[in-house]
Amino acid sequence: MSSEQEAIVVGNESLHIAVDIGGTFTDCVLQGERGFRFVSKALTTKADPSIGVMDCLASAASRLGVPVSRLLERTVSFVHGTTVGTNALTERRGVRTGLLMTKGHEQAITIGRVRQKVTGLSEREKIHVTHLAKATPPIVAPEFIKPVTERLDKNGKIVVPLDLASAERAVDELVEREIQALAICLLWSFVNPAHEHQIGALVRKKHPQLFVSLSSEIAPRLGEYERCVSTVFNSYIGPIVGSYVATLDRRLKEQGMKCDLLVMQSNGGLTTVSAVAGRPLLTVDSGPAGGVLGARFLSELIDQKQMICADVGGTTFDVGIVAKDRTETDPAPVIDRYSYLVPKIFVKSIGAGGGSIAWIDDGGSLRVGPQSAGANPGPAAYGTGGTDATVTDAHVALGYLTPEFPLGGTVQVRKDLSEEALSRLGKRLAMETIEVAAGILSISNAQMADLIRKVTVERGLDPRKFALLVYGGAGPVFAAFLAKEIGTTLAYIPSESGVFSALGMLTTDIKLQEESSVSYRLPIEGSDLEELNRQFNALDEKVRKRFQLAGLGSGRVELVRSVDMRFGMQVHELEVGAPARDLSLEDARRLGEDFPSLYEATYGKNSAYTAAGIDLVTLRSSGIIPMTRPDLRAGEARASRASLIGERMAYFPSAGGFVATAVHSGEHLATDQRIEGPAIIQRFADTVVIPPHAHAVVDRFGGIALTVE
Amino acid sequence: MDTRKQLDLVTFEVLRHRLWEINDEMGVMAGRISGSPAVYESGDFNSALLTADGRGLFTGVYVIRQSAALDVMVQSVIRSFDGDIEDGDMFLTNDPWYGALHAMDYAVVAPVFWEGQCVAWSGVVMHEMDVGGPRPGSWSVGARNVYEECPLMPPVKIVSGGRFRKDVEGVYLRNSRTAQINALNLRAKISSQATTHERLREIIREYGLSTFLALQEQIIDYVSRSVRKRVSRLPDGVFHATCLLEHDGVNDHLYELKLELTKSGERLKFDFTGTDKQAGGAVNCAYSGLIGGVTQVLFPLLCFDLPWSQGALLGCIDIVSEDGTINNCTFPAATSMATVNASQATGNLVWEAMAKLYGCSEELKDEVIALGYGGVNMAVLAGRQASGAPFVNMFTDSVGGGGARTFADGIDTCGNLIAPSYGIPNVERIESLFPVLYLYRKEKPDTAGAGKYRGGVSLEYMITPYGTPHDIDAIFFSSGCSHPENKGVWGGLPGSVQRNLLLRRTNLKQMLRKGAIPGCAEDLKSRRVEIPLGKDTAKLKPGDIWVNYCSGGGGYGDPLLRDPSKVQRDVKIGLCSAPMAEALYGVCLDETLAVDAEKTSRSREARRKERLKAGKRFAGRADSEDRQGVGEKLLPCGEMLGIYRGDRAPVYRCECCSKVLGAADEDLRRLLLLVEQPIAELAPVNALVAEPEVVVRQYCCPGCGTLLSADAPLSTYDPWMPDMKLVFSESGA
Repeated sequence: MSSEQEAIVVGNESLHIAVDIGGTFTDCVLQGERGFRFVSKALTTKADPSIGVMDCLASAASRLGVPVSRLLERTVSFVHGTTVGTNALTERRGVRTGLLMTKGHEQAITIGRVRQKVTGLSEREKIHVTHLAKATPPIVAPEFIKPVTERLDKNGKIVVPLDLASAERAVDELVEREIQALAICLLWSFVNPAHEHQIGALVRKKHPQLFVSLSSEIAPRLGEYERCVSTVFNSYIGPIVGSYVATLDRRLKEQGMKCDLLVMQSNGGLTTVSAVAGRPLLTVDSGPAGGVLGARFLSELIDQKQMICADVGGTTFDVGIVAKDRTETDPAPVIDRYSYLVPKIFVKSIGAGGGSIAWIDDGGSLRVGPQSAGANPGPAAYGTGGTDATVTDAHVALGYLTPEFPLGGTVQVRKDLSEEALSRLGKRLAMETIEVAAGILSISNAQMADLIRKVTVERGLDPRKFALLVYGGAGPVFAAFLAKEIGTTLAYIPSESGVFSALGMLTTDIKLQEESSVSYRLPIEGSDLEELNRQFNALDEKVRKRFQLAGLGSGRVELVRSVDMRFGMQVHELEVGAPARDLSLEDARRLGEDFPSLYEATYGKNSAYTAAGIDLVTLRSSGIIPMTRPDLRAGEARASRASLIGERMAYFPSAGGFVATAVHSGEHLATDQRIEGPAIIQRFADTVVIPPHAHAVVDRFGGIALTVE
Repeated sequence: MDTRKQLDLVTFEVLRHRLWEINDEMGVMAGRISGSPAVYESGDFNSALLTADGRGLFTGVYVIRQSAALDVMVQSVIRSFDGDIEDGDMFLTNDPWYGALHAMDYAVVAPVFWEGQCVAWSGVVMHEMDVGGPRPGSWSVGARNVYEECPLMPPVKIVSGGRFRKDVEGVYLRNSRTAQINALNLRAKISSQATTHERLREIIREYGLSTFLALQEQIIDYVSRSVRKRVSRLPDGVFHATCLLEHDGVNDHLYELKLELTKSGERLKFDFTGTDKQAGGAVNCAYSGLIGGVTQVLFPLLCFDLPWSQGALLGCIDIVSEDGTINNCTFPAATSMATVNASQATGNLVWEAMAKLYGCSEELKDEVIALGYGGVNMAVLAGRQASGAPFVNMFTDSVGGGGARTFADGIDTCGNLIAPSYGIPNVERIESLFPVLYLYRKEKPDTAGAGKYRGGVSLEYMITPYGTPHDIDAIFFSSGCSHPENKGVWGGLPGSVQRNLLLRRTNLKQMLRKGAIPGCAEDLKSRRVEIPLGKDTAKLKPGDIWVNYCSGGGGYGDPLLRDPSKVQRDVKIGLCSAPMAEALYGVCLDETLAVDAEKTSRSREARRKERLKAGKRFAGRADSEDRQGVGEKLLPCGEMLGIYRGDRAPVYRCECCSKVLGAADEDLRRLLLLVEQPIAELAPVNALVAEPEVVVRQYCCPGCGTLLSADAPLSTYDPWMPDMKLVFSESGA
């Protein structure tokens, strides 16, 4: 037992814990104040995910030989990434939700801007035109949508006054039909929320049991469809997410936790149990944000300003970007064909990963994915009933994965089954088994590289100038190949790549945001500037109020402001930081001066059309309470120990066949140790493949930097 | 250069995927930079990659026909600039006789060079909001020929040897009412392609030129092979379709387009012979619109799991058409409304004929789809904001319902499926940009074509000028106002007609002041209601109202076969009225909206008896001819027919009553009972057509009255004109 481990067991070191729920596994990281780190995993328990959370804590505790309460008593922060909201949406297990919308526009969510039928679909799905469908079943059925007589114009001026009595009747009818939650979305409410407020106040008084969301609070942005979707989403999952986090918080406290549970949001900040209760939407799809935050943190640590984050899981491949330690915001996140509006860290996903199935199409071409064998039946190699050849099977046949080192520390692969599945495919293609395996590797690698290129090139960025951060269960096998394919020389694999997203959640702060859609044409001066400052101050006030409501007080809150701007006729907006004080003429002028070059840096050269003028369209105020962070940097140099544990044959396309490949034990690597390819590093939960003409250097954080020529 | 090099399967798949993504990126980048809501909000644009000789490799998923016509464009640039195409050149054109669909679809196409050799082409097309001419928005209602329309620009070098030609841009922008947006879009087209070319050169650097060239051939070969294989598995036969095209902008006349599709072996022949001569107004399309009209439908139908490679697809089909016809017009015919008229109509013919063919295939039956959104019903509004600043906007939110499928209803408010990624802007977006107020925008009940599966319902909206004291010019360019364009298939009935209404000097202001919002045109009092013609112009004054609604999608299968609970559901959620539920589906609901099962079954039985009683047979045909024994089922034939082995040759048999209808190489409709019905009975809005020139024709089983085929042609049209017949080889199937 190390001294840090002893400190935990004996009980004098403070602990930070992060638990992130994934599709298959729930990941847990215990981080000691002074650098000690311990990870554990447990199967995700879908019906009640808190069981999986307690399971992985129990697993960690038992391996450390202490009761769970001993860990929780020492815990100073407990951060949680939950998929409860996401699952409720995608599986339609939310509560029955009613919707009130301005009369004449109540079908906006059903019509779905017509494009709903293809929103978020892959190219493959889009081109099967005769089989398209809008979201099925709809998140709110037509009979639960009621019109409200009222109308504002674009300036927020009342065109038709609110008929509060009819709104009340509509709500009563919905309540009679046993709705548990209500969403209210009126046209132009983000300019003038008065009507929504009036209805909201009435409903909260008359039907206090209803979970109510107002669009002017949840997504105060232009665009009634997306604003409506966001508001409905928030209500639909509200009661479920709220009770889940409250229950988990209680259960952890019963077991001795003294601090409050913090919850990860998709905007990259943390929030509290009571704040989540009103804005559960912010927890949706928050998992991938953890990885990007981890990357942002690492980028400082290892001094790489621009990083592409590549999370290679069993079924999905996620790509995010960290450029100059900024993360990018997703302008139009999508869940199950619904576009919604929340500030969310950008991550793009495709169906690709270890479980992706290889198949032959009508034209006789070898294809890989997007169908995945998932965990059940799983790749052929798992021996759990799967017979389709998958990417994992290719890795087994090529000698990257072997039965001696179980996947994720638990699954023992079977080479015979992998080869059988591959050879079946090979016979139909007139290819050798090993050729098929190498082909699957190339094709899946290329697909992932294409997504990386797409994400970067579409933004005018050159992927070759980025370091590639690779994590997720299957990531370390792919890292070097992927780096080569996108033309970058450096791939970095963090020490605990399998729980990297959870780790990332320990690097961020509590953050509550408010924003509003505005319409200013630059230059902003005189009364415009006064108005803007007034609006900003109002936003700050809202933020402070939310902190107070969340029981956090507003004393420690640090306010950060930003604005979204765009060129006059263009639609793509860019978030730009603004000083957290009343803007002076000079401040306002500088916003305009800096914008064109920032815009071109994001959307590519020649993308700015300055002649059209610049519009300022969103104000955003974020309140931040910095978390006390564990010192993740405190990696300590590891003494050289013999890491070489053997040799096995592995196939490398560049070598044209199988070559003798050194096998190293990940636990015995020394800081600064350099390993020349071909080699394989066998770590506890994953396998790092170093092809010929590449080499690995171990850094003092236990990460592995792969240099590819 | 060795272009015969064969790529291994893996390299092929790797690079095929990469090229596909590159084309998609090119579209996304262009869209990001664009300044036009039609592009960034609605997706009215497209991109393509082509071979060095101008055969399309990939078409994007936006408006298919736009890039489908880029083949024609690149090939004509190659011809007309022979010897004068250099590295760094980019060509700009909107000329329909050089591959543009109509004047507003300005395209930039550009050769990709490698060491002095042209190795590929790329192209980006966008619908520009205005390119000049007599009408704002450039839809030249009233123009009789090319000289009265917006100016055409045959291909010119907008970038020459890498140098941007300000002078050419000047000429281009001078003619437009939306010069600033066009300028921005021009930059979008140019810079997205510049990036794309660099990406393509990266592939060449990495894999070598011979691999890059071989890759292109192999993509075309791969798609051709797959398409041919797919076609070869379909039954041989001849399938007919007709389509009407309304009002050419000058003459209020219904033009007729015809298609005879012959499927033989692994080839498809599309013969448009017999189509009306080119019109005296701007609805014609040139050859580009004909090609785009065909492939916009064949990509979704034949390549639903294949790369959309125009070069490959065109190699697998034959297109026959007479010069000087409405969908293959010759200079100087007017064409500014080509896209949503003759080109769209061409597509309608292909949807209909292909549905007949696919209905006879077990394998592709689920790809059968009725017509949806057969013709556009859009308008441009133009004028001045309160500030005096000019505006022009095409209202892209006029969308119809989708066609029914064999397994599901058509998509409600679907939009045009030849533009899969098309979207409509939010009401708030439009109101933020233009001086209008939407009183409502919603789904329109009773517009869907009835069927076992119904078509999708359409969209309806009501707009009033708002916040400007100035009059607003409205330019309407619609079709399908006087006849239903969205035909049903295999017994499904056509969707509704579409319309614009202008309510003059209404009491809207008083109504709003009293706290009421109109929910339909009837809610308002107005001095006068005008119904614009298909192509028309008008002025909107403060207090006036414009109502727009589109056609519902066509149905699939006999409406009497529709599950009554589905009809009930539609009534409950307001997509179908109770009277129409009974009129179209024979479904009777009680006052609690529960299905009255007994009454329903009686009503449906009565319906069939009426058909049997009223139905007329093809001259000289008697029941006795149809009595013969049948063997096993050979093929399906729509929803309620099957092709069975007969004593002598294969026969049609009704799956409902098992009656043998006749030999399967006879024309189907001639074996059936004809019942005619006025279009007004299909949808309440159809009653607005004052003197319909068209009639609904229902062709039913003479044994049980099941509706097997329906049409909505001119009432003067011979009901026994060819419909479809299968061709069998000696062996019998």
